[in-house]
Amino acid sequence: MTEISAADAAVPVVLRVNGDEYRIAAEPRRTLADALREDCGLTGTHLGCEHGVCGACTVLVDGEPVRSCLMFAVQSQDVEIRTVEGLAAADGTLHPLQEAFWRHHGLQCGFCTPGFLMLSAGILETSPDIGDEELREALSSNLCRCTGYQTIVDSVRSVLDAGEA
Amino acid sequence: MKPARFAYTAPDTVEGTLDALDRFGDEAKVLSGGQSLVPMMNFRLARPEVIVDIGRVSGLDGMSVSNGTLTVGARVVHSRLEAPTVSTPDGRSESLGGVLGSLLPVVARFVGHLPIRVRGTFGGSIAHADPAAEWCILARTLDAEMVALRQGGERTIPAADFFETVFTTALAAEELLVAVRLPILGEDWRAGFCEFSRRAGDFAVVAAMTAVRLEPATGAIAEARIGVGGVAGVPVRLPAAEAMLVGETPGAGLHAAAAEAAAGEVDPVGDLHGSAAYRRDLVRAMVARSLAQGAGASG
Repeated sequence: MTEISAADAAVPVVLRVNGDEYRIAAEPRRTLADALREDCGLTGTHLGCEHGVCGACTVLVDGEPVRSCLMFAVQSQDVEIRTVEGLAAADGTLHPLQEAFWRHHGLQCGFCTPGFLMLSAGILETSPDIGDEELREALSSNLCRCTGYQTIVDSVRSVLDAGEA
Repeated sequence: MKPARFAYTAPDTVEGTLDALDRFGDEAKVLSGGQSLVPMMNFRLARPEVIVDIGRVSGLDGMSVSNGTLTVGARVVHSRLEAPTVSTPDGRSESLGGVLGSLLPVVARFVGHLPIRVRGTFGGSIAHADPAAEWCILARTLDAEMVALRQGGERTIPAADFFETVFTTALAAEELLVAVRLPILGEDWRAGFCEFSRRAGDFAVVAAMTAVRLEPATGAIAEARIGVGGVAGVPVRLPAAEAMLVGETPGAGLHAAAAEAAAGEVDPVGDLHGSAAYRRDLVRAMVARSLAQGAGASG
């Protein structure tokens, strides 16, 4: 019989985030997003809708962009997770995408930005040759209520064109 | 919101999964990619007592062809169907060609968004049974067969019997959907898929799939299938419109007439996404475009 974790008991969970190991205790219902924010203290990942529509909580799981509000921490143990905290270099040098969002005004209030950055990082790493139409389609995964999106498209396009991945 | 509490188990074999489903029955819910179930849990529209996570079960994510049938493992994620590959008997991997091989990527791109497609699964979508879900419409239109296992037994459920009503299938609580079988569609088939949604990545307001088999000698339609989603509690076939196509030669006039018949054959209910009349109009447009797409015309 496979082990069953009780609903009301926190179980030990090991998350590997940005190369660091976090040993936390989480109830089965704890989402990855909440575990990152509350248990790992990585509050760069934002929660908007909590049902997979807005994309603010997007993180990379094994290199692919996923909604961290639609995964449970207990499901996330054998994977490599990357969050916005892992983008800049240790000395604070911005990632090319962060640099580009700044240069092209790809953000205003900034709430959606971590999600857009991680979505874009996933696109940059898995589809560096992505065409304009596909890029717009891929970026349509996330919602931004400030920019009107064009500056976000410009930001990501500039990094893709520079081949800085 | 946050989901209600649940107990959790993640078996690493099919047997372990069937064991858990047998033990917990109605209290249990299978978690695959979670892209439909978890939103419902976060809204507390779904409050399963026990989650049986099949993410660690191996052997459910294969695709292979035999005897004119493509078998898609239940854990195959949507994004893999954007460029479908199949395993050959000698263990190689090759891209799926043919009519179905061209159709699947067209359909896959309508499924949610990129982050949804990399986690959500084909089998999960089928078992969730949203009447506007692309894979459910495809399964119904092509008369797919669902392969379900339970402890000590296996059965195959035809698509016509599988989808019962909104979010409800013929799967019993102790059954696990492990694979779906689709006909690969020979070179004499022409297939198309069209959908309309308010925003990219939303569920369709109305979506239509069409597939016609042409008589090689005459080019006339020998067999026709029209499936529509978004107009009833399950994806529906439109036999009267299908019958109009049979024996005729594809062309704009015929497509328009069949689309008109299709619009008359559905009985949609209006909701906040569109009135009944609007959905009927969309059926006309989506069926016509899908037939034209299959015939290689622009619209």
